[in-house]
Amino acid sequence: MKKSLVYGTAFMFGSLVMNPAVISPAYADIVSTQDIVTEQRAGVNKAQLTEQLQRADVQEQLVRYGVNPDEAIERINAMTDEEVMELTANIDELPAGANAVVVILLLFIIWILIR
Amino acid sequence: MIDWLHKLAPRVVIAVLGAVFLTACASAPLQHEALFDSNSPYQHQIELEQTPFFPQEDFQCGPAALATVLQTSGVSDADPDVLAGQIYLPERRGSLQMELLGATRRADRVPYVMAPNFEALLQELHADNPVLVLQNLGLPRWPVWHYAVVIGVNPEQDEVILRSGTTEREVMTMRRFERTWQMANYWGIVVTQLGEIPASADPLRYFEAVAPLEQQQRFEAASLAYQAATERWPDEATPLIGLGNIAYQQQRFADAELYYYQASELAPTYAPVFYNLAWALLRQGKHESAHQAAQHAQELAPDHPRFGQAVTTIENAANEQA
Repeated sequence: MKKSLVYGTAFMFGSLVMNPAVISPAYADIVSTQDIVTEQRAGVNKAQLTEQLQRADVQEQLVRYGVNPDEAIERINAMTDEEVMELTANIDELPAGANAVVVILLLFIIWILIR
Repeated sequence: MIDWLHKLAPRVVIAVLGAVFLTACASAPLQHEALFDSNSPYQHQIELEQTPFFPQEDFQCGPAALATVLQTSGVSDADPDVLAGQIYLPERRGSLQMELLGATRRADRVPYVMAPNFEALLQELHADNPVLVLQNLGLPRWPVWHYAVVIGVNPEQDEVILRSGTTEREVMTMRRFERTWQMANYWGIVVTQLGEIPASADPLRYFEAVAPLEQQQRFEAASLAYQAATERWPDEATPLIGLGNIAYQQQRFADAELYYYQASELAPTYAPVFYNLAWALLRQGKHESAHQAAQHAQELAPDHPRFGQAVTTIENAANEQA
């Protein structure tokens, strides 16, 4: 174990953002592995995590982006709180991997021409 | 006048584009050059020819690439069309990284996000693990994001081999590949068979990849992963805590107790272990030992909002039980 652990902040996270649908009742007692790992990664953006995560809002956002409502819930439930927050904050800027053959071809031609 | 413009225009275009490219190319140095010198363990070529291939439809490189690595990890029914429903975001005409991670979990596999460097990629390839990478095929300012699966490298020919888009065996020069990957911050994931750990894995990164599976109650996958981690990193307490937490959630409190004890031997000053141990003991009606464990947790972290109250918490719970 790393000795340089910082107590005191990480353990609040769990209570803020848990999704009741996927957390068993008994788990509220103990410190979750997720919290332990989050705490060990000191680089976590704490300010961001103090924001209350509203999974319903996230669902609405995904629906606006063309996902059907039930599927949106499944997607959100398969992500961590941090991932969900990043997604909602930057949904327009995040890299969306796709296949844009035309653009690639064009860029490639330009690249060949000028190199 | 018009003639003059005609002559000049292409030059201006080229000059502008050139400037853009130059700023792009003047960025960080490439890593691969230093990795193939004469003592390098990665000198010989490798190509994972057995890796499946799914020619993608429009905008579906995410589902196709994900199906490729999922099948390699033993998810034999992984299908790009089904995965498209799970990760394709219509309004963005593509798939986001976190959705790929989520869909991997939904297939009960651990999505391990590699350390962002070229050597990790080589380590994985030489351990027979194809790597799903994000690339920017455009420019930093005008990105064209794309997912592909790296299946091989040939240092002698200066080549990287990928399953990419509609191309079953795409060959890029190392330089071109690394530039496209570098512009995506060297983002790549490895998905192994259950109970196997990626060759380049670092303990904390790996635990970060596994803990969400446990949180989502995908206990079988998570416990195989923790189990493997105890063998790979026998000095790490975290996977034992993870196994204990799974046992606890499945109400196997005696097993949980045992795992927490083992963890406490590796991390004798780590309060969460004793705190969870106290709960596992309490749930078995061992009130006396639960109290001792709680006291120990409290002594280790007296000012902590949760562990600092451990004795009271456990006593209250014991009274409720009685």
